[in-house]
Amino acid sequence: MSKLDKFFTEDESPAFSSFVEAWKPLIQRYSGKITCRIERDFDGMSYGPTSIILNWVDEKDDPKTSEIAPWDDALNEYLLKNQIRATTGENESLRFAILIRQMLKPLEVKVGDGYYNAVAVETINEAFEDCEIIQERIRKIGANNPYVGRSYEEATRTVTFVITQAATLLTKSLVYEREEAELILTNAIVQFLEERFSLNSIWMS
Amino acid sequence: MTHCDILLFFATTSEKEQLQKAANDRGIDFKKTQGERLVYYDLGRIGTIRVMAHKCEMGPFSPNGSAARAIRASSETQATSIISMGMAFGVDRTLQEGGDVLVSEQLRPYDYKKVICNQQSHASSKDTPSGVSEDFSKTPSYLPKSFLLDLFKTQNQVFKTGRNYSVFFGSILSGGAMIHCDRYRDYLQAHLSKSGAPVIGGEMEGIGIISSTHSIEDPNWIIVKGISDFADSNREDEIIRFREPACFNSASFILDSLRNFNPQT
Repeated sequence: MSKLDKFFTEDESPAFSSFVEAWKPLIQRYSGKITCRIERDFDGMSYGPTSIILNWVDEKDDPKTSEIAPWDDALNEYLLKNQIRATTGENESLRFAILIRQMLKPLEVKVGDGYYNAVAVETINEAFEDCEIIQERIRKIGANNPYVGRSYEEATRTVTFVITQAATLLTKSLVYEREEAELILTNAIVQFLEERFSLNSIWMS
Repeated sequence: MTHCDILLFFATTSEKEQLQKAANDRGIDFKKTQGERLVYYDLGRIGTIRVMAHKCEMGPFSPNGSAARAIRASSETQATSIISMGMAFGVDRTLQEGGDVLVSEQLRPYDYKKVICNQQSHASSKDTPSGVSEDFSKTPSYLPKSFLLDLFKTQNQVFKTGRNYSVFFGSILSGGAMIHCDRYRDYLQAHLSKSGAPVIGGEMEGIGIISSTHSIEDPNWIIVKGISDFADSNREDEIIRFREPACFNSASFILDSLRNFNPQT
C-alpha cells in the first residue's frame, strides 16, 4: 500500500470545492428532485457576485432551499455531472453564459483582448448566422476581423469547442430537448456578448 | 465609431504629453478623436490590439473623475480592458527610485475602513496622530485582469535589459486623498501590507477605474504607473524632477508590452 494510491484511483472525483463535499450527501439523497438557482444581481451598471442555491422537495413534499454557495467552476461542473438543471430556462442561460465566459478565459490570457474579441465575434457570427437576436447584438459590436495567422485556427477551434461543450452539456448531461437546448444556448450567448461588450450598459442608450 | 479593445486612462496634461511622446517615439499614432460623447486619442492598432486613450479629471470622485469617466468611456468604446497610467507615489526609497514603474497585482482602497475614537488615549497616539483608530480589516483587495497582469509580468522579463527604470509588482493603495505625509504613507503601508501582496505605492484614479468592471468576477482593469514622488515633505521638489520620467516610463512600458505581445507566437 503506497501513499500514492490515493492519486491512482478509479474514482472520478470532482475538483475540490468545499460545497461539493457539503452538498454531495444531499444530491445523492434527492437525486432527480433537485434544481439549482443561479443568482446574480444587476443594477443597470454592473453585476454582483454570482451564487448557486439548491432547491429540492423533501420526503414530506416540503420545498427546501440550501445555503448560498458562491459561484465555483468545480461546483457547477459537479452539478452538471449530476444532471442538476437550473430552475428555469432563463436561469439556465445565465448559468451557461457564465460557464462560457469562464471556459474562454484561458484563450483570452493566451491571445489577448483584441484577438480574442475578434475571433469570438467572428465565430459566433458565423455559427449563429440565422439567429436574429444574436445578429442584432453583433451589429452593435465594433470588433475587428481577426488576422488569419498561426493562432487563428487554434483560437477559432477553442471558441467552437467551448460552444460545442455547452451544447453537449445541455443535451447530454441535462437532457434538454434539442429545441429547448438551442434556446438556452442562444440566450446564453446573448448574455455573454452583452456583458463582454457593454451592450446592456445604461450609458449605451 | 470609436471602438477599441484597450483604453488607456490618464488624468493630467503631463501624462497626456508623455504618452503622446512615447507613442510618437515608437511610430504609434496619437490622433484626437471625437466619440459619441467623449473625446479620445486613437493610438490605432498596436499588434492585434486596438488602443485608445482618454483623459479624466484627477481623482476618482468628481463628475468627470475616473469612476464616472471609466464607466462612460468603456461603454462608448466597448473596451474590454482599461489600463490606468501616469503618476503614482512610491513607498520605499531604499528600493525604489523616481521613474520606476508600479504594476498592480492588487488594488487596496484605503478609504474603505472603519474610523473610531481611540478610547485608550484622547491625546495623540502612536498609531494615529489625531487620537482616532482606523480598522482596515475589512478593506478589500481587488484583483486586476489576469491577461494584463500576465502580459506585463512576461514583458517585464523581456525588457529587463536596456531599460533605465525598474518595474515593481504588488499592492497599490488607491483613494481620493492627496498624501503628502510620510507618516500617513507608512501607516497605510504597514496596515495594508498585513494581508495580501506587499504595498509598493499609491495613487488616486485606480479605485474609480474599477467601477467600469461589469462583474467583480471578471475584472477589466490594471494600474501601471510611474513613481513621481514618495508622498512626503519632499514631494513638491521631487515631482518637478520625476513627473516626466514617471509618465514617460509608464507609457513606454505599456506600449512596448502591447507592441511586443503577439498571439501568433
